[in-house]
Amino acid sequence: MKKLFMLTVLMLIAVFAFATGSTDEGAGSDISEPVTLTWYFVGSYPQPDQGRVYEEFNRRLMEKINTEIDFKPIGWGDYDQKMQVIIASGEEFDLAFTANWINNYHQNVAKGAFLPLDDLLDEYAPHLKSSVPQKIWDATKVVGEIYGIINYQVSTMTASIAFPTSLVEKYGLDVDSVDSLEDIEPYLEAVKNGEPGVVPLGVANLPETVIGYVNASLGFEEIGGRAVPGVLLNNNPNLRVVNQFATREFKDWVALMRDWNLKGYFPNDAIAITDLSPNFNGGTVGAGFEGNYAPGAEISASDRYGYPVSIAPISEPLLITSGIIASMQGISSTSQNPERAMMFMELLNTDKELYNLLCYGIEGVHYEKLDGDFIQPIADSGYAPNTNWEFASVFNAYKLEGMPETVWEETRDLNMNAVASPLIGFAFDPTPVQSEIAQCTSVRQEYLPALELGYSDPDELLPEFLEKLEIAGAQKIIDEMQSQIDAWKATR
Amino acid sequence: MIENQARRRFKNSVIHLILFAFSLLCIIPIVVVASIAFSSESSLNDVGYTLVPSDPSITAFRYILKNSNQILRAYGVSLANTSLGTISSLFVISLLAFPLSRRDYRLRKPLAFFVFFTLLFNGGLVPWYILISKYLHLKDTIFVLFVPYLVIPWFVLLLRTFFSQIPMSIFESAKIDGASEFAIYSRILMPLSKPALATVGLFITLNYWNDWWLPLLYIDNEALIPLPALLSRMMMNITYLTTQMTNSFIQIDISNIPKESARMAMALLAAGPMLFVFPFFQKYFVRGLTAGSLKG
Amino acid sequence: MALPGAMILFVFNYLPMAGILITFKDYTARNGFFGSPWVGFKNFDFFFASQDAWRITRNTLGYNATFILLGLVVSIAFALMLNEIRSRSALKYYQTAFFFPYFLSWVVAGYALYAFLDTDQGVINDLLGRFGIEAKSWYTENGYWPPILILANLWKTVGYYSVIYYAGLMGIDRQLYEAAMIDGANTWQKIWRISLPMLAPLITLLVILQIGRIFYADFGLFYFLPRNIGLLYKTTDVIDTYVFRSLRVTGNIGMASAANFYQSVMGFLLVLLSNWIVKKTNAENAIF
Repeated sequence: MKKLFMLTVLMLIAVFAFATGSTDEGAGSDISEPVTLTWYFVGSYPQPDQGRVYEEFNRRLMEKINTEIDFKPIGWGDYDQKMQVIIASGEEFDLAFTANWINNYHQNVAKGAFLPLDDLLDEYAPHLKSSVPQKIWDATKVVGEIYGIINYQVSTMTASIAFPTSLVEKYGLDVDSVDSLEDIEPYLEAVKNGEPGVVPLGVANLPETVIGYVNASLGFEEIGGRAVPGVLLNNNPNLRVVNQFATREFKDWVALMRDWNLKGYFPNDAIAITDLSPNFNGGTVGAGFEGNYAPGAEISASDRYGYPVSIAPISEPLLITSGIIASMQGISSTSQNPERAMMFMELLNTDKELYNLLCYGIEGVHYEKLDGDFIQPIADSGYAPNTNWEFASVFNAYKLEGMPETVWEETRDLNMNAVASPLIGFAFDPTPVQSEIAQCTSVRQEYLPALELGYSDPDELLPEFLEKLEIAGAQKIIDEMQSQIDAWKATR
Repeated sequence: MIENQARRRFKNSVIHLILFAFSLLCIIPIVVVASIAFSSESSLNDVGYTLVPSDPSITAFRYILKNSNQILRAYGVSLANTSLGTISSLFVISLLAFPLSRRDYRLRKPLAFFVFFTLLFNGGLVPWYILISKYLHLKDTIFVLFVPYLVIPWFVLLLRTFFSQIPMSIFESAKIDGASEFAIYSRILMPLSKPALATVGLFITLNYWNDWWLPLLYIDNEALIPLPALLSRMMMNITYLTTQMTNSFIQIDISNIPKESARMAMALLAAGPMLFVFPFFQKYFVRGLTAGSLKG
Repeated sequence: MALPGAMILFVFNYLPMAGILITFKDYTARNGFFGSPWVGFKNFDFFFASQDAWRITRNTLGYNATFILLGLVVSIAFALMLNEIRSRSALKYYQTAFFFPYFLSWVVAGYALYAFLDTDQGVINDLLGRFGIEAKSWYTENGYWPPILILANLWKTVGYYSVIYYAGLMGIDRQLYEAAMIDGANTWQKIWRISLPMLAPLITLLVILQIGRIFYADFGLFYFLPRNIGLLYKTTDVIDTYVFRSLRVTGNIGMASAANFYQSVMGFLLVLLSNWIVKKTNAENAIF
């Protein structure tokens, strides 16, 4: 009898404890202890007024969840190197920005730098979890586990070309009917003849290659990283990996670039130019490859360049892993407070005021609030990181004047309706072929720019390039990718 | 006699010609940099690079100096760490180089090897980083800006070689007079080695002033960033944004980014002070005292 | 007396040396230093298996050897010339001017060079045009670059080294020269019999140290001047640029460490050799 009584009491206590816990906003969250979280992220730092913004941010954060952030904003040029050293040395920190193009996500997961987040998400960030569609979360999975918190925004990849509106009107290019790169050739010819001093197509020797812009339009989904041999072609449901540089699509494109180079559509010294912004900002290009195409792109591009810009997408929107994981936060395996870090992320993704404080600064000091959700940033205010996409879901951000009212709805629709790649959820582990990847990278840097910019006869250069890739182990990489994909397919 | 004079004048003119030509070669790039820094952005796009700005303007400088607070503070930090660093480094290095230069020092060869080995071999970035940040707790302090570089083997060996130019007899006579090692160091060695110390001192100063590697790794606190590191950071921000942003498929606003002229202006601002430091050190490039003129 | 310096060296340079072992491990932060598995020489794979291994080694050694030799001759020549100048202000002007290139980082120097070599608007092609010579495309032809790089390196380092040699000349006892003049020696003899021999220890030191670094290329020079243009790799790719490019994305610590190790060991062997040779001729001048 006594035992039964004790058992009941224990059960009641247990139920009580659990019940109290679950009526709280964050189940089981204990915020009685003040905690300081260290957060590394990247941008144009230092910003002159950042101290003030961070102070205000921490003040509010303390009130809400008894937490303070030790902000560690790092400049663009330093971030990769710095994070590599910090992670390699096992230093303690809590949160860090990661993506497929900086502080490389997959590399870090392979090194064991981040914690798996599935349970943390479910327990401490339920709103955050449910606000992002499952197929987006799937893209972050490595061996079935999520390691990165998605900063939800436009996730599709659409190749596009931008034009100064004045020139397309002058030469009668119907931007809406442009579907592929070849379509703009008559326009380029017209610009070349009619506008001396204007470069018809602005291309240059960019460190990560021109091909990055056209991957989507050629149907390439990169598996191992930028310009590493091995892609999925056109969402092939058989999941067969091919060497993109050996495909007919690539050959045709390179021939087109060569043709255009000879016709004089490129800047004269394209291969020695590493920075085209003077041309773009000065309005002396007829057309240029634009980054991802998303709702509101024309407005922000026009804003950036200072004159009206028209944009033509030249591919279907693709939903692929690299597009999705372009902006995430990771929780370090050296973190002492992963729960609190996750709670902080939940807050940042749901509390509009807090998020916008970090994005835009203090109202009245760094920006003016207009009607509804629109704002006007104050010039030279001392705080303008322009990295909304880096902190949390951009769908909570205030809109800049000129952006369409429904911009976030449209973006969400775009994400939902896009064709998803069959490879989402697969993450390539490069460890077995590190040496070959390094060698191929070197070969690629030697030959690819010349091919992209049409500097030599591709009939000679392309076979040479392919041969060197072979020797560097390209096929070995592709075989490795294929076997990993097949193994993954079998487990689904 | 006359032809000797003529010959000497000819020799001198040839020397001057060669040296002058080379000096022009050295100066012209700086002139080009300055010219770009003082040009308006539009003229750079239209006309390109010229020796004299076709459309002079100071917008580049105005842009950079907008954050004058930050810049001034960075200058202060740089001055502090450079002067502290140079003085302490010179002191420690000369202390190390002196015994190395003495033939009567027993540990001479092993010590030289000890110093020299570190020139070629190092354990790599990560262990060094772990040592400094985890075990020595030097991160985000002003000390981390100069202490790791206090002893640079190259300079130690250089100074040692300079020291060994001084004849042993001077030291021997001082010892006979009963002087302690330290007295020999401070009263004899230092005054005699002015050119050597000035040379090495100059190099050390340059080293510390221009360094951006230590701040990159170990300084997160923006109040402690030295000037060249700050400017280099700004420059790398720009470079990265204008060339790498294509990779991200994320729109980044670059309309605020200063362009070519600002980059060159930054280079000038960063290197500027050093150009004035040189004449300061030049004072010491005088012939050392000779043995005969030395008094006890 | 040597204690403070030696201690600092020990702490900052020798303690971290344990990290050399990373070269032979597959290091990840999670496993830490002691937990990471040994992989023998696998980290050297990416470098030696590469088809370019010979090319980059050849470039690195070839350029560096030229730099050392040419630099030596020109810097000493300049130092000697500077020594002959009477006018203090001229001296100040020259030495300051020669030092300017040293202040410029290669990034900035790369821009300056671009201003000269740009196909359209560059100063040089402009000049050539005036003489009726066709504009050259500097950035696409491999053949131009060895001389360009050699001259660029000379330009940057001559000021630095001539100051060192000049300081060395300052330390030579004046009386030696006076005695020689009384004996009727002319300038050449003074140089050959006094200046150069007295400079010998300094020259030996600098040359040996440079030989020790002969497998290390000046990264800034080879990366920023040719603007990382792939077409030019045949003559501008060196060990350091190759390693940088291959490993930048993967950030594999073990592989980077392996390349570094290779450079260190080779340099070390060469130094041992040259130090030994020097000992045979004049034991005083050897480093150890």
